[in-house]
Amino acid sequence: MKKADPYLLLAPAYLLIAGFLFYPMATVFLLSLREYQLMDPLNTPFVGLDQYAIMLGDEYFWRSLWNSVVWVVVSLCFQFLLGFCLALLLNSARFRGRGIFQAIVFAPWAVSGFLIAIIWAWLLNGEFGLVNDLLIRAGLLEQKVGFLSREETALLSCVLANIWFGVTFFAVMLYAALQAIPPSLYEAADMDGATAWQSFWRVTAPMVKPAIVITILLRAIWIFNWADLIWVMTGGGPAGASRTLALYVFQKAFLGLDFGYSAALGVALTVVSLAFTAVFLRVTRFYGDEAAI
Amino acid sequence: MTASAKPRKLTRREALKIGGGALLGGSALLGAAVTGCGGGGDDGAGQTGQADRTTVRFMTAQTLEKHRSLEPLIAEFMEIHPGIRIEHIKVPWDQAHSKYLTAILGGAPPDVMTIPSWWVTEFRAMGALEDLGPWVRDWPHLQGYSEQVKRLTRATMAFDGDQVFGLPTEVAVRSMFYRTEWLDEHGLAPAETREEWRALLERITDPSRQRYGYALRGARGGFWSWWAIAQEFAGSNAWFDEDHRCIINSPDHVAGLSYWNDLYQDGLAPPDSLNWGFNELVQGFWSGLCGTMEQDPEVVRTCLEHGLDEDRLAITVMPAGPRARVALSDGGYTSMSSASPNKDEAWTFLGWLMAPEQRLRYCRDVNMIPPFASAMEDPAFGQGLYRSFVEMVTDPAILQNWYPNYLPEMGEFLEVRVTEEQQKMLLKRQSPRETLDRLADFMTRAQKKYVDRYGPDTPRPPA
Repeated sequence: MKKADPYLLLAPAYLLIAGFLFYPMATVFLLSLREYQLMDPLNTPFVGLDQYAIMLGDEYFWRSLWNSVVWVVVSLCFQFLLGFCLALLLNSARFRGRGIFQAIVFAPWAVSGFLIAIIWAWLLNGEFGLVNDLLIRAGLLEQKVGFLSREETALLSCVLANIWFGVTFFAVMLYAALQAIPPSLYEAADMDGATAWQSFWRVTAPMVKPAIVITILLRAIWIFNWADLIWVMTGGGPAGASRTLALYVFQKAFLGLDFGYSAALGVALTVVSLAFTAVFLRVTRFYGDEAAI
Repeated sequence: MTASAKPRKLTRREALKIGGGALLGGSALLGAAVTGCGGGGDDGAGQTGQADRTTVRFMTAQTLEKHRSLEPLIAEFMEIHPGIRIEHIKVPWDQAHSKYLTAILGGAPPDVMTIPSWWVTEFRAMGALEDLGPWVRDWPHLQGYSEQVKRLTRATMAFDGDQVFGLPTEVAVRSMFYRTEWLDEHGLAPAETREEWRALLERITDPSRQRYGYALRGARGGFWSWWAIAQEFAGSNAWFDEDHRCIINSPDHVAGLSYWNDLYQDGLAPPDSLNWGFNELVQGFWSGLCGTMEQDPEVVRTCLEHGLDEDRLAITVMPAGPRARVALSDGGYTSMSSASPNKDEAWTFLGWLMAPEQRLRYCRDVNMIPPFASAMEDPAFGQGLYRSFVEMVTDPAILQNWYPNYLPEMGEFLEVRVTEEQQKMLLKRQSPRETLDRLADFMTRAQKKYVDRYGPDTPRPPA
């Protein structure tokens, strides 16, 4: 009977997870097999995989998916590079008031997404925006540009706001990882005559790699699912130019009131996230490395 | 660290205790949640509190401001009618539809409820609304509604022959707002027709001074602006022909949409307005970037709060197009639930609350237009900034806007499709003709689906 003990101990946690995670997920999947318009709630026929078939032929879906890829990849690259640089700077610099400086650097992370969106929407405003004014004064622009109302710039404007916001998250996570590297490793590298570049590649990089992989993975899924910044800044416009898949799910569910189809989109969103996670962990050999350590 | 601090292995008995405790706690929480959801259901059964008082449950789904404005009216009613207690259930607007449905389908509907016009057909089809006909026959105010409101009530199927499924709560309608200083500079007066209005916009637009004629709404909700113009050009508010084919892509409608599109392409609206929604539009007007906008009476207060006053703000009826002047109006209804156990008491409250005197007080408070023709005689509405709104709902010559809100696809159409298509047009990726073709195609499919399911007798636009 002793064998049952661990299961009994785990049971409450599993029950909670099942009740609050798997049950809703299963419900969403079942919902995606039905035609369910909230304005016609008494008429929800079972349609099997029809909604998925519609999805594959839906140009809005493919465009949103592509926008999501751009939104995630570009945001993530810059967030990571800038965040890592910031973490290295904070880790290496020794000066008075470093603690205060760190707190200031990390401040954007504490600002709500809606507020960030409003701030950036104003900065990039086509008539009164600060960015336009600065660029014109600097002679880089001849006339004002409506960053949020042009197809070429709308999504990138949101990406810019996202980068500003997310850099600090990478900085916090990677700074913590850098702090955890024992100084003795650097001392040993020094004794062996390693250059700064070599000690970065041979000591720093491998030691923070697990943190980098996990942080990138978390952020990627997070950004992929994050819609409020874009919703407030551009509403997904103009003409869908900045609509991501997560935003499309929101629009379909809460504006179009088509819960069946938006559930199908939600399932697609989950599948893409899971596929990305599997590929990413394999490519970065995350588990292999951990085993080696 | 001492040896005694080392964690001790749990015995099976202890493990069971903990696990069982967690389960018990969990089920207690669940139980509380379930009873919490059902809580108040007992209240609705009728007699509560003092035995001689009947409770009428009144559910409203409105803005905070409107909820607040109802409180003194409810208190006054209970003073006049000590035998009736009103239980006011306030539902946040964004959850309203599902809350109402849950209450109705769950068998515990409120006795009286406020509903927006586009739910009337749906709730009627579910059999959730009581026919107020027997009570309304002796109610002296039914003929007092303005002509436009009467048409609206028929179009939304709230009034259907002798049957009445809801009394109008308020009317929202659009008028044209002008910055009078800009007009005075050029010696202009508010426009009577779309032609004059376009000429006026050309005169007051001056991008070098950051001045544009029109606060255009290119994003969400922009549909209403160009849809009104399309109807003005077509002289009709119909969406479908006899074969249930959508006709909003007729050459006249295309001409109307082209007129609106040209305002943007010719630079009479700010370039950024392509992505403007409600907030940006209103801001664009009061901030002094745009000289005109079309809006609801609720926005008057916003303008006054931001430094405009009666001398610097003019509001007139909407300019007329080649074939018609169109009122973009809509409103809410107050209905009785067919499952109410206290229908007479519910009517006593409903009839009192919907009477002209109460409507005037309420509408004055929340900046909406009362549904009664007598509103014109009230100084708050018959003169000053609100006058044109009342004219828009009382003038029988004005064509009443209508849209097929009985179609479940309407949400998708208004909130996703239209914005996408109109923005493609503003970005010059497609012509107004192509835009309307695509939208008409979507609506034809929606209508066909509806007809297949419910038969060809669909709601029709007001004549």
